[in-house]
Amino acid sequence: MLKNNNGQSLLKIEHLRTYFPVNKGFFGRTQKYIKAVDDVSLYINENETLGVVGESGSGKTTLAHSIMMGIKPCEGKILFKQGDRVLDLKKLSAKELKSIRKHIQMIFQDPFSSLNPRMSVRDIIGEPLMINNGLKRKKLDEKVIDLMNDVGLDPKYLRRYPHAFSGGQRQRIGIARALALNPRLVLADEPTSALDVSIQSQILNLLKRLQQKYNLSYMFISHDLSIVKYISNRVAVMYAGNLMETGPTGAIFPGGLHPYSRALLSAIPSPDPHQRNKEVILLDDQVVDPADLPSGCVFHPRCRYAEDICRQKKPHLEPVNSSKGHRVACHLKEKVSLN
Amino acid sequence: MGDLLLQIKNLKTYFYLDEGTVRAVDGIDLTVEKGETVGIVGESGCGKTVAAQSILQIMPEPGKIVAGEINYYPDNHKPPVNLARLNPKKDILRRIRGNEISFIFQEPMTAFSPVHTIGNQIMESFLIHNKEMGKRQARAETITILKRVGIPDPGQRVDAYPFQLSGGMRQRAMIAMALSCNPKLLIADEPTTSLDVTVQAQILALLKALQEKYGMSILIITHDLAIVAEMASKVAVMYMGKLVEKGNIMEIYDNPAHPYTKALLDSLPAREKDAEYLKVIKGSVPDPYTRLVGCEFAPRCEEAIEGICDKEKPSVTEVADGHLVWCFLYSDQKEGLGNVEK
Repeated sequence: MLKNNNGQSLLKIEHLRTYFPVNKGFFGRTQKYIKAVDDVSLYINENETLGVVGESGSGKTTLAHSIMMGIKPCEGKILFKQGDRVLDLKKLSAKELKSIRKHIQMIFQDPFSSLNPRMSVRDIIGEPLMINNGLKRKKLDEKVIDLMNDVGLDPKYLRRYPHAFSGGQRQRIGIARALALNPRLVLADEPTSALDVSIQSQILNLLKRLQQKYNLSYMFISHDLSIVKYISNRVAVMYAGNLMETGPTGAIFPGGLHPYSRALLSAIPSPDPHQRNKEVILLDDQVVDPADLPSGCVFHPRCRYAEDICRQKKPHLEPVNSSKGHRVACHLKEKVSLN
Repeated sequence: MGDLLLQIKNLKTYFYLDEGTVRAVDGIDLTVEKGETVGIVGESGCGKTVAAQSILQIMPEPGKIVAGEINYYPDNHKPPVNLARLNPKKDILRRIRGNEISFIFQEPMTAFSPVHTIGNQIMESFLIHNKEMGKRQARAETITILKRVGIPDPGQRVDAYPFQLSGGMRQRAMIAMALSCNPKLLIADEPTTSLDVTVQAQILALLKALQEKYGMSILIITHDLAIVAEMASKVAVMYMGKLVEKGNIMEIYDNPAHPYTKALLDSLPAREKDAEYLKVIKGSVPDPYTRLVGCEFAPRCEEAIEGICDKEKPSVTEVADGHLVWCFLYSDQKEGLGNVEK
């Protein structure tokens, strides 16, 4: 596989906004927008895993779909490096987009609903190869068997249907399908949350192994922070469609700088009973209405540090001096960091 | 040692289906003392939920308790009631359900009726279990209890329908319903699985605070080893309908004995210290109709002894004070068996 080390990121998103109109009133006029992704900028380097964390409804999945252009973002740039060129996916024609999409693949959360029950494993994994590479019969079988070996599925199950497989095995089928076209970037949306504990570690190891073998980049979306910590090189924390903090895993865990990251991370229960009663920052239960976001910093109604400036002005992601590549969107980051 | 509240002895709950018999719970022993929290952990399909449901006989059809005792000690002076023997459709058990022993379900959206307000649903348990209480008083009590579980503006929320509440609020309403009659035992089946971590932290803190205040016992059922570590003082690990290990929480997490418990703990990313790859348990849980002659975990076990683990069921061994493990690695049984094999 081509590897290009001119220091440029494989994927770079600039000021991405994805809004959904809410129709109200008699004539169905659009009066409000749900800002699912609101001014998000981030990048993913080659052979790197970016973990995206946040509560449900924070826009993680919409972000992934926007990158694929499955949901059309309304503003911003999605820059994808293709050989020596850098393409803005938002500006491509449908045909060009199709050829680029080969390089970006998704792994879905629910291995039960993301596989067509009427297609055999061969057809599921082979479909992208058939459509994009025109492989047929024997050649297709060979390639599918290779992929099955890659993800740890026994090739003798080639003609079986999804119902015959367990959750972990189905997720392996989904991974094989995603890898079929040799993608550069894989967007994994909660790939282990439907799996049992003992299966979860098998899938995480598989993803890591495949990354090394094929030089993959991952965007790994999960609400399970201990998994994100384990698998990611860098982490992005989202809240109500906004990026609150991003940086190397070591800088975000165990604490992070943003008050939201801190609350989120402190809420993870530890599987070590000696650490119980560690301090948990409890957030109150106010749920943000995505169609009616608070003014200023979206987190201010739940933030214990909030001051006037937080209510009035929206903070932008700014670099933190002390650690490289670490950026925080908080007016009070100097003050918070002292606590 | 505290006073006994619930003692489960050799409980077996089977499902007789056309495809075969599912031995969902196959001979488990467990005790819950007054005021303590006990955790049952296991993967999906291990029988932990059916075990909890068996206590109140609310397991789905055609589940049946085929053997064992569930002795419930309502107070120290009276003889225990064997809940397993009670008719699930008769008054004695109905008086206990929701009143002395209550249940929190995993998915608060499906556990509540969507067409009644949460207030009416919580009031119902007051009205059923306390014949003297009138509607007006029940409503006032409902508002008080909603307030107690931390629902803001309970005077208004009492008239809300479940869909109008967020997941965390619904789970709080569920806890309010479970607590309405001051239960002696609260069974929480995956109480936070469908919630975000931040909301999960709130719910766990709430359960702890309520336990401190009212002194009830909690039986918490979960697949999440971290939640048990956070909440429970004793833990039982289940695999395919059987207990594989149980004991004091610190003891089990510090010195896990059973290969399954060890592997489960080792497979957690949070406990792995900077290792390149996580430890895994090979294979997956077999389908529920499978019946093995030997230890249920033997086919997946790294330490299985050929000729022993696949031939016999392990009996229980006490490896430390109160730390019980069902495994041949710790048992004297294996010497005898080994000789027979030779």
